[in-house]
Amino acid sequence: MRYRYRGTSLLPVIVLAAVCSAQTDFHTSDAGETNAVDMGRKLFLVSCAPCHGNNGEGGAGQLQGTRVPDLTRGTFKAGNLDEDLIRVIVKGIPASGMPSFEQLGPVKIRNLVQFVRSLSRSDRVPAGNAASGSATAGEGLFWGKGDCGRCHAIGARGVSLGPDLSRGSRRGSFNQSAADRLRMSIVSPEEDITQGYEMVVIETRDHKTVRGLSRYFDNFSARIIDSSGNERTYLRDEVISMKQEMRSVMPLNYGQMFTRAELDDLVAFIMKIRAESSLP
Amino acid sequence: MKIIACTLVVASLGGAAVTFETLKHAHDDPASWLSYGRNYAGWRYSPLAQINTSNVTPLAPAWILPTGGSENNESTPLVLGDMMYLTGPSNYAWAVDLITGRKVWNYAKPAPSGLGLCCGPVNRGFAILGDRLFKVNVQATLVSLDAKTGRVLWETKVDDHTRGYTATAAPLVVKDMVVTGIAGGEWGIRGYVDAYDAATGARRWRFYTIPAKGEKGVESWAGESYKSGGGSTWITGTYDPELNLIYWGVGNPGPDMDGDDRQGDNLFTCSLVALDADTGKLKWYFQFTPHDVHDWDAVADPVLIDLTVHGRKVKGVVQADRNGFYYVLDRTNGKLLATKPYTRINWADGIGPDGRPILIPHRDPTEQGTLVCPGLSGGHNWEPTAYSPQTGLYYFGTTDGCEIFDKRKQEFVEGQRYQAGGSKKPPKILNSASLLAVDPATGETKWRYEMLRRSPGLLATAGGLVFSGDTEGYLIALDARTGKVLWHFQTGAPIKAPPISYSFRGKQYIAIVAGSNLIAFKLP
Repeated sequence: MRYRYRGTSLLPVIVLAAVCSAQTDFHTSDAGETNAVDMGRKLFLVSCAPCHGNNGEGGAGQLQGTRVPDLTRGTFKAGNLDEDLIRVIVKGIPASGMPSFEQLGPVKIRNLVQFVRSLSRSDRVPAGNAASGSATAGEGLFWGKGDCGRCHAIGARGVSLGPDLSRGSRRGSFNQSAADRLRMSIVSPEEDITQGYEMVVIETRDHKTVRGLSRYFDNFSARIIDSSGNERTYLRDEVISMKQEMRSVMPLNYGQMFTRAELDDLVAFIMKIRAESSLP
Repeated sequence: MKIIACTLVVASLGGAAVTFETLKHAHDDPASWLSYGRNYAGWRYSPLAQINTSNVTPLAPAWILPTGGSENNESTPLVLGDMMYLTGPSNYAWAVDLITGRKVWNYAKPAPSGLGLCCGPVNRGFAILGDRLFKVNVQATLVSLDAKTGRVLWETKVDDHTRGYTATAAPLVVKDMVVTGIAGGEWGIRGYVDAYDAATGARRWRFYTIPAKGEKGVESWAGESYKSGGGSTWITGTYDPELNLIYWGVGNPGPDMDGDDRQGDNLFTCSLVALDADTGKLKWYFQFTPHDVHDWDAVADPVLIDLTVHGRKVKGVVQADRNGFYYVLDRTNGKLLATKPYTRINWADGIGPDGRPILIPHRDPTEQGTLVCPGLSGGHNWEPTAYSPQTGLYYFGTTDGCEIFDKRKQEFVEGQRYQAGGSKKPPKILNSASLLAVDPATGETKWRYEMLRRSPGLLATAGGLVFSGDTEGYLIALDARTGKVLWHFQTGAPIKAPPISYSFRGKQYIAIVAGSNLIAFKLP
């Protein structure tokens, strides 16, 4: 949506915003996420920042030092669904001192939720090497120099042959050890192979060796995708041997191909993807 | 003998009451399956031969019953007359019509939340005596049901589930008693084997697997460590009617991975105990793994086989222990007759003449982790084994591999998990599994069928076959003499239970729970 109108006119955004504000329930149509986040930020600074801090880090402003939740962690005590956040904003938590903001109305509350969600995205996370990387640069490396999309899918793009890169991290939070593991998996893919992604080696009766990943692998059969992307089923009875090996089908030379800074970028990008895909 | 066989055939056709005599002579009643191990010796050998090596290929389902229960079903069904009796996880059970495969009655009892269970609220089956069925419920109760209706006749509290006690094993009927074990080895329980009056549910005797102050064996526990010593009894034992001895395997000491505060052998954990059936008194014990720190429960089936060992005829009891060694003991006195490793072992150099493992140093769990083979779940574990008197071979599944064991300091709190460490798969090693056929007198491997994961349990038949499920959902028939696969069938759900065989209206069936589906196979 945003791409379609980019560079033409601001008008459509304004029209959509108007449609949005006319709605009476919390389930707004897509007003353009950035727009909603921006509107939410303005509201947040007025209504929420006094307690939660300008960036939602908690324990800030007039309540500094008290137990105001940190909203940047991506997990919320009252529940992680939008509905949960909406409920808390609408009803407040009387026992804790969090007041009700029902008077803001559904659209503004929805925008607040969008903004709170944006706080926990990993593209603004601090931390070690990976965090200093640029997710944008990493995205370029992922699809370009690394050609990672040949085996890994992100959204509708790429090939879902290798492990799902959006998994493996806790919701939205930047996790240094997860980033370190990810870096290790890129540089030394055979150190810790995700279960189900062991290399399958088949020796056929015409003495060809087929190496690849399996869709499934059992005591009698396996369906293999080989390095050329060919996919077929092999029956154990019809081949000479069929076995799994603790080897990775991923190229082993990314440690040489990428500079340290590039690895940081790549890790930052994948961590960002993980954080985003863990949102509801 | 002939007369007994005839009356039993009639009994099985009519579904008449099961007696102690029936159970003693289970071999003479090929149609039925009346106890966990089919006979008291725990053979899991069906004398039926209609399905055999020459005709097994077209074996196919006769009926499929979706029980609707959990997929984590490890149960051995019983068959009597025209009915099958199956238990499921979380206190479910069903009676099934053998003609149609339809449910006749259900039993269900809610399981409380927060139970101390390492591996799910599993149940491994019924026992039967008279017209009564017996099973444990996971919250540590023993219940008796009317086999005709499923009505509860009595339910006895075995122990307090809030203190970490749970129950999963199929009971064993001996004489007029129901013998049962207890689970909770990771919760610092004090284990035991119990016998209950089959008619009333009143307890007749209890044998504690962990001795108390002043009792024999307590000196094998430092300080007061025996009080939370574990020693669970979560797999059904066997029984020798002539010797009147019950054989039961005992689980690991607690806490599992940290043995520092429980110096000593920690009797009678990781042992096989032989108990007088009338009194529950200990006749003898054999400890496979003194002072275990790898969670190697000695719960593998203690199978009773009369053997010739070193030219001498002996009453043997064999066990493929979780610690990686196969053992043959004299079942009259517990003396070690033979032993042999059946999988990769890096913690012991062998077993000494005194039965104690010859330890290799530095194999205990550490804070940093120690690579030990076999891994925590052992070579063989609890999964039912089979012995075929036809081939003279003993069959069991193994995991062949290693794990990294770690330990940490942990205070005991009643009712809480008390493991003090754990294990994980080494990153670069791919563990494999085998189905083994061994000479029961020596443990020597006769054939080996490689599998991806350990067999969930076996059946041997007079048709020269061994049946096993697998975790990917296949039911497999192998030639019992050679290990050659003769047939396999994809059941559609992971198999975690052992197969059984029975005969109904002149047809032999193979039955197994695959996931939550009960399936009966026959030839067309």
